[in-house]
Amino acid sequence: MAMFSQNPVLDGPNYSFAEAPQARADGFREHRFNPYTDNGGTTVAVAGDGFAMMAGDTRSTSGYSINTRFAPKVFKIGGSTSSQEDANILLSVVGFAADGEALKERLDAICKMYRYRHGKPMTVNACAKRLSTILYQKRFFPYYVYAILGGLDEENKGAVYSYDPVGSYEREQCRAGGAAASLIMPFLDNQVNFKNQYIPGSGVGHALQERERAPLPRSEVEILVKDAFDSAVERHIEVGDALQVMVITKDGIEEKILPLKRD
Amino acid sequence: MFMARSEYGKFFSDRLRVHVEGSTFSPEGRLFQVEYSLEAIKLGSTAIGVATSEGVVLGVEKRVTSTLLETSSVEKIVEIDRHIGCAMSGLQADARSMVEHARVESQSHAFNYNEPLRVESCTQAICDLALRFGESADGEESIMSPLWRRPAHCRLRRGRPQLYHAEPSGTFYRYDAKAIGSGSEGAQAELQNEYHKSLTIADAETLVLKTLKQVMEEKLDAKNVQLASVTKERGFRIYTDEEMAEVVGRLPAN
Repeated sequence: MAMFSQNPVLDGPNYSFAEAPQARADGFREHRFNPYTDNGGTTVAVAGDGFAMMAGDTRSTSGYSINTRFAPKVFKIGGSTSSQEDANILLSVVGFAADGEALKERLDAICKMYRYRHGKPMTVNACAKRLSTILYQKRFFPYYVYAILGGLDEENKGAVYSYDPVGSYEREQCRAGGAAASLIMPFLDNQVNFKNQYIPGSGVGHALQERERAPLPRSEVEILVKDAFDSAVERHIEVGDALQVMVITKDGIEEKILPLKRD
Repeated sequence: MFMARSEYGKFFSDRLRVHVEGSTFSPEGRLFQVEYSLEAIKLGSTAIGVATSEGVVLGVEKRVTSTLLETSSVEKIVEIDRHIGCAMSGLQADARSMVEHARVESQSHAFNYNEPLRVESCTQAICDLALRFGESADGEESIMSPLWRRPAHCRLRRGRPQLYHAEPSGTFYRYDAKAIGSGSEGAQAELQNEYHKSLTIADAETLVLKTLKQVMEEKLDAKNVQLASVTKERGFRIYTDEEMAEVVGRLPAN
């Protein structure tokens, strides 16, 4: 029924920009406009000891269909050239891919203008606040995107900032976003922030002592992130195909593409 | 005699002509309004800024035109943000509108980027506005404002104290020490002799007042001059009457 639906199976209003007017018994016709699509996919970001890691799967979906198996979700931001080789910030976007792309382009343009105007690259802290204001400026027609910003702070510590679609943001140690966020986030809580991990023999009930938190080394985070995605792919149909991982350190940004299950 | 407006106007689109018609060009292609404003500054009261490694000191001469004038109402040093102050000479009304612009720019930057605006960027923002005085929306009667101002500045959290001078023409330069206004020639020469890199804030206060004293027509006292400073610890601050009296008392008598 939905005119341009790419997903006849669901037959709902979810994936279409325009629907045929619905005729009703009382003679009125109802018109609708659906400007958003959910393109699935999942992102993960972890701030570690002197680095920040941003990862996202590369599958893009519409309902049960796969649009492409390779649509990157993690971007370099704020370089002085189109190749972004001197970029100092990473942005991951998941949700509605077109909005994510538009948001990335806009933030990048703003970072470039900032460089011209102020003669220095934007700090992650400044960029984080700016991204928040960009999102909030579209408070009543939002970018349908869960964004995560990553980089190194002024003390070269890994920094991860997570956002809701209208600009609420927070600096965190780790965050999962998108389709499988609810599968991955509890895993990260436990493995990165050591939630529900107590020191054995420290007591019972309230006397239990929490395991002390410390930023994780890079080797450990790499394994953690890959495991998180492998698990998500197993249980979520919108996640899969390949894993794009970017790591930002004081020496620059490295990018890797790892295989994921394609079923 | 150099009224070239209609001839110039023909070569531009309607939109551009507003800009062209509002201004008058000299044969060298300069705008008279800008030239006049540069001259006008030389008639304004003297203002001095000195940058040290500890902070920046600004000083201005208040021309007390009447014994009935409440001297505290003469405002020639203003705060733009906690870390940026500005001393001005020339048309106060024009300066005020530029200060307003700079304040908005500074707040907007802090809002959008969660960091203080850099002094150079602030000066640039002011200079952007300086040129726009010549092309106001109504076009026809707009006048390039004779205005002069010098933002003097301060330090950002991790920045160094900086002093900038913005001309009405829209250009700006950074200085260690700069004098503007009617006494600027003599004052600048004095600053040139006395300035050195290891000045303290207290040294700078005395240097500013001593220099003002030499170029002022009236006899300098705690009422007809004003000082302000921008330091890392206290940000921008205009000196109180007591502090003014203290610095004036420090000056060598002659």
